[in-house]
Amino acid sequence: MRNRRQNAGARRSLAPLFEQAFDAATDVMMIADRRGLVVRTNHKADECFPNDCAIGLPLWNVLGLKCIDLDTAKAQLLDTRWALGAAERTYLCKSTNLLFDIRLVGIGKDERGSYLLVLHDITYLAAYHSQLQNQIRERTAVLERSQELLRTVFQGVGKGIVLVDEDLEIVECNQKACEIFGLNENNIVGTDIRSLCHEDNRPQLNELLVTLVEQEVVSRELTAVYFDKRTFPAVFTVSSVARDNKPLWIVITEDISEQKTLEQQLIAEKAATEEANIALRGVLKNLQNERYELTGRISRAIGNDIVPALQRLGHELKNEPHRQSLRYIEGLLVSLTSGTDSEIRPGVLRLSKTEVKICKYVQAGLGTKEICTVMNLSFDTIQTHRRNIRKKLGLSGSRETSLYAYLAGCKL
Amino acid sequence: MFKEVFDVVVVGSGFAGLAAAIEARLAGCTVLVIEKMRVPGGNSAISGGMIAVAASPLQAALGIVDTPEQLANDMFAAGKGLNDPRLLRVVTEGSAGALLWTQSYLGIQFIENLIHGGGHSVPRIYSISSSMGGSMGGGAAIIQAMLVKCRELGIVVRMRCTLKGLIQDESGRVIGVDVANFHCYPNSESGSREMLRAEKGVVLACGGFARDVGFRMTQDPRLTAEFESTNHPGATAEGLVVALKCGATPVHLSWIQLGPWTSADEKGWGVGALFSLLMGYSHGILVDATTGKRFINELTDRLSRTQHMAMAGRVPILIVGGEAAVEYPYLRQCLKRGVVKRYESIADLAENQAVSRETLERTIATYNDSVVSGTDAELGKPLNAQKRFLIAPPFFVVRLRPKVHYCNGGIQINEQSQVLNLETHQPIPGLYAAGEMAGGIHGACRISAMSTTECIVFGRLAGAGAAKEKLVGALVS
Repeated sequence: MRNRRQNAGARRSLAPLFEQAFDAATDVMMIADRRGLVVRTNHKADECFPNDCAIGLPLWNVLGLKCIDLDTAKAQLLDTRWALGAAERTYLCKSTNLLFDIRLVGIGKDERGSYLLVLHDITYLAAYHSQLQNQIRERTAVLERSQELLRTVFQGVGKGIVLVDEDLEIVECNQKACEIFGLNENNIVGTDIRSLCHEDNRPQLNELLVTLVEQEVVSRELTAVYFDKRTFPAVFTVSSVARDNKPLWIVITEDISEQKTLEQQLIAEKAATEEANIALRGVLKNLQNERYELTGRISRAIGNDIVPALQRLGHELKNEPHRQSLRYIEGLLVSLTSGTDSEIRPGVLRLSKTEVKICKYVQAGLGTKEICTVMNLSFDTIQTHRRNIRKKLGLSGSRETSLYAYLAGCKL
Repeated sequence: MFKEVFDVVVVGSGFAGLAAAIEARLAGCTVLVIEKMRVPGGNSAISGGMIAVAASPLQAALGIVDTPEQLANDMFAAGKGLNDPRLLRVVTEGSAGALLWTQSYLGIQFIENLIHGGGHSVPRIYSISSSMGGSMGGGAAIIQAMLVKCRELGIVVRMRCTLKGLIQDESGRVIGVDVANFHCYPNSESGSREMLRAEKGVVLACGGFARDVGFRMTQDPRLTAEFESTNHPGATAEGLVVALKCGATPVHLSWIQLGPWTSADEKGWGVGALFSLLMGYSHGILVDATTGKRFINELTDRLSRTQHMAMAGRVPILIVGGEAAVEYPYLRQCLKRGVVKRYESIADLAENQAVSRETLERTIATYNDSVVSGTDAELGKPLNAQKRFLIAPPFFVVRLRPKVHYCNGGIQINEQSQVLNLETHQPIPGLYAAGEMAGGIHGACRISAMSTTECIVFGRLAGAGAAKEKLVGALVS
């Protein structure tokens, strides 16, 4: 246990150490007497106050405080309101451009008291602070620009946009939406989105919203209602996004009355055109029928009456040139029948009675063996007849066309 | 010269304009209503749609004694004696008829209770049943009913068509309007100009100019851009200026009213205003948060209320007890938007609203005693027999900030709604005006719900008057 005298002695022997510590400190340190005049500065202080220029001056002048006496200087420096970096508790050294935080400490007893001033370099803090402020300013400007852009797009889009919250209440809308429904913004915001469409369609809109999944975009044509209760056709396009775990629906609305009118006009025109088509088709059919009838009559006359008569005439003619002329006339008349349903195939006329009989059996689907049995002729005879028939009809050599196929639909 | 011809052209599609259009049409005229905005209804479509009536059926049923003279006296007192007594007589005596018209002709349903509004000596105010407007509000319900009638009667309501000028012949008679079609408000140069003929007359129902900072500051320099407004963005002075340039007489233009019910926590009229208007003032107390005390009779006229609220340093808040508040149908919305706040105890309220708890407790206790006794000795708030609500938990609080609301002044009209000339004081032939645009009825301060009444009474008079004008001969160019 040391007594007071020993403590005082210890302190006196440590005094040079304290002085060295004072001088070597990295902070600027100054000591002022009880009147507030600076009596001692440390080595670091030389940077700001070279050649001991601060000695003998009031501390409030040295530090550039707006004070005129010690009491106000003390009050200012000891005011707890001033946060680090506040002008009231900092000293800006003009020559080095360094910013210091001032800390005032009273030392010793009141009347004989002195003051210790510790000036801590906070230049870096100030620089950092202004850098942060710049960043905030820039980011705020960018944010404002994108908000402005969003606002412009939201309002400038040619369709109505309405944002709907989880209670199906409208929280925001653009001008076009107001115009489409004839409602002031105050009257749209806060109402149920379903009230914008006709009663009959409300369940549909409800379903549309409730069954929508995120990333899905669905459009539906519904009947909407204007402020004056007039209904009009509209398209509601819905998508959703999650906000704070609750759904936010984005509903885009479009008045398609004009479109619908055009659609109606098109449908009417189409119906009119179709009616005209049907009428025309009828007329065309009639004309075709008449033609078929006419040509049919001619063909039948040729096939049933004229050609047989010519053939009979041909049998009576002895003169070959006369018979040739007759065959020529036959050919011309036969060609008149082509394309009609009573078409006469030219070769058929040249067939003999037996050959015609065989053709009829072939047409009926009988094979050579069966024809042999029916006509009581040999296989070879039938085959020969078939060869001749093929030659007369102009089929010889072409293996593709069977006699049966050629004779199908032929009038014998 | 004239692109189209009508008998009557009405400028503006609010209560006054549509009422005028309907009456003119019923009298057999061809009518065009032009509206400068993209949607119809103006301020009327976002208003509460409440209508003040003197000597009404509901008053009789509820045993309230009232006369048109008493209403006129209330209006005169609030108007500081600046009101035109002849116009007061027309509007007060016509109030019952206006109510009947909205009920039987428009089919509007009102609730079976009367509200005691600011500036009125007795409960007089009819309010719309919530089944009508839904969450849109009473004014929207009335405008909707009027628009449906317009559609049925074949009245064309043309949007985005703004008045640029009145066309007068050499005698000064108004024979048509100069308009800009496909106008993009607020771009004043937009639209394509056209002249429309009005064979019988033009009715001006352009509303007020509460949103027109430039014009309102010429009349009252205190109303800088710092003051928000409850009005829609189109409440500006173009129509008024056109009328003034044609020789109309300006009256009371500097008496621009601030509304005492708007919330500091939302823009414009918002959802909080109706809460304060319907509930807050009649059943609650107005307290200065910095002192914890009441400072004015909550049911006095708006001018007094707003003047006291706007006094330096005051932070006005409205406190309503739970029993009264839950009767308000849109309370949930107000709470959802954070405009009305709910507190379970006075301590809670005091802490969150920065009010001294002890003072507030005393204020509330004193008020509750007044409610029970029926007399407010402190400030003279009328605590009528109707319904007595104590300020008891849970408490509902709105922070208020006055906003520019209504223009008491406008152009001078006579008892037939005709616009009077500045020099001759005689009617300008063929020109009528009604609604907020007409001045001289409310004087210095309009009392609650009298605007709807005024619009319908004078709107109908204007429409009927224009219809009776004789057709003029061919225009000599």
